Amino acid sequence: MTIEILAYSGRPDPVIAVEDGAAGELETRLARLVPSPRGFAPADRLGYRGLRVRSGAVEIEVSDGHVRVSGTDGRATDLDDAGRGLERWLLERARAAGGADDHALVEAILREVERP
Amino acid sequence: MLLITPDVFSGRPNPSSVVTDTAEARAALTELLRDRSLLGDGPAADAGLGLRGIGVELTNDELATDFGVASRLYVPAGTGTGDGRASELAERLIALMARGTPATADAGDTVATDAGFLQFLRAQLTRPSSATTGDTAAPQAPPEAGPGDVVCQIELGAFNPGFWNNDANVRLHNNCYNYASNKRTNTFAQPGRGCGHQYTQITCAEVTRAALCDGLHRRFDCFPASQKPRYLVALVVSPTPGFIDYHWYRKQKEGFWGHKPGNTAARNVDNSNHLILNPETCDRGPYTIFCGYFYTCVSQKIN
Repeated sequence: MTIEILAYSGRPDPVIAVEDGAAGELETRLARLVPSPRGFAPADRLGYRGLRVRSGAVEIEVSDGHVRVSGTDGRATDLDDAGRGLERWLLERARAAGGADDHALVEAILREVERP
Repeated sequence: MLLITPDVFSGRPNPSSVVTDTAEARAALTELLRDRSLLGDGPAADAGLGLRGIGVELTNDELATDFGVASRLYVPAGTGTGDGRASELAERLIALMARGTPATADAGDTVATDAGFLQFLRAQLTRPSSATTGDTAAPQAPPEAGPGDVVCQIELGAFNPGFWNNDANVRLHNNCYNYASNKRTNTFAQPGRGCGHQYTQITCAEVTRAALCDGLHRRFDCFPASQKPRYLVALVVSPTPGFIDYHWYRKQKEGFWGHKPGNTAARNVDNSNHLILNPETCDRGPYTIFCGYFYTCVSQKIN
């Protein structure tokens, strides 16, 4: 499973490989989310925008409290990540698995995400 | 039957040509509908005077049913649409106009099929989308302007976000530096990598060094005409601990600045969704340090 942190403009965004066991936990957490009536719209700005997770053939986009799960059949499911709990968990996994640079980036992002 | 109307005039009504040949009408519709993404509701937002697009009206309900389309279609064309395929479609429609008959109650008004008018329309499709202008050191010029009144000739290109956004592969693999340089390399280009000496840290000084190595000049260090197009670009940096990055903007013909944040869409608005009239004062999110202005050039190395 990989977590791409969508943040930079000039530099390439970091893609961090996380431990295999995280995929199962991700599935469990996704199952707890409720469908979102609003369509998924990724944040579109300079600075941190969200995460793109690839787990097997599935791609999960996470941005500003919203989640989109896209399967190989081309269909997508939009979910609510109210409180950004899934996003914070993914950032924690990225911080644990990444290098020093990634660690610092995630710290900066978590400060922003946790800002009231 | 088709009624073809170029959207071109400002004061007088646009002329129309009626195409009654069913086979030709069907062939033209087939071609038009091969790529529906080229059709629009109207002209591009920045379309101005001159040819803005071509309207196609189906005057036969069988055609509308057979092709499953609304009775009116519009092909944006002219500068600013930027897509060669759109121009090809427009050329085809212009050729069809020549073979049609003017649709007007005024028997003397034959402009829709006039050879000179149709040639004018064709020329509109190839008019350049950039303009050359002087970049002058203002009275309160920045330190790097140098003594005296410096005027460098630069080019300002039309804002054409579709070129960067419509193809996902292009959008994902071209970044702010690609956009500012107006060079689509699909390599997520990095300053200095083209010349073999990429930046080693992200500071104004080091990214500037790398960009100059690629061939850019600081503002008011003019390029000759042989280096056209010479775009005016701006460099900013985010110094936030943990979020160290750079970003570039490019001045557009319309007067605003365009940019492309990483693998997201190219746009002309800032983080507050305001049109970017000044990269020094717009909302740049975490990119709080303004490093300066530069010119790109045709011989710029970029990778």
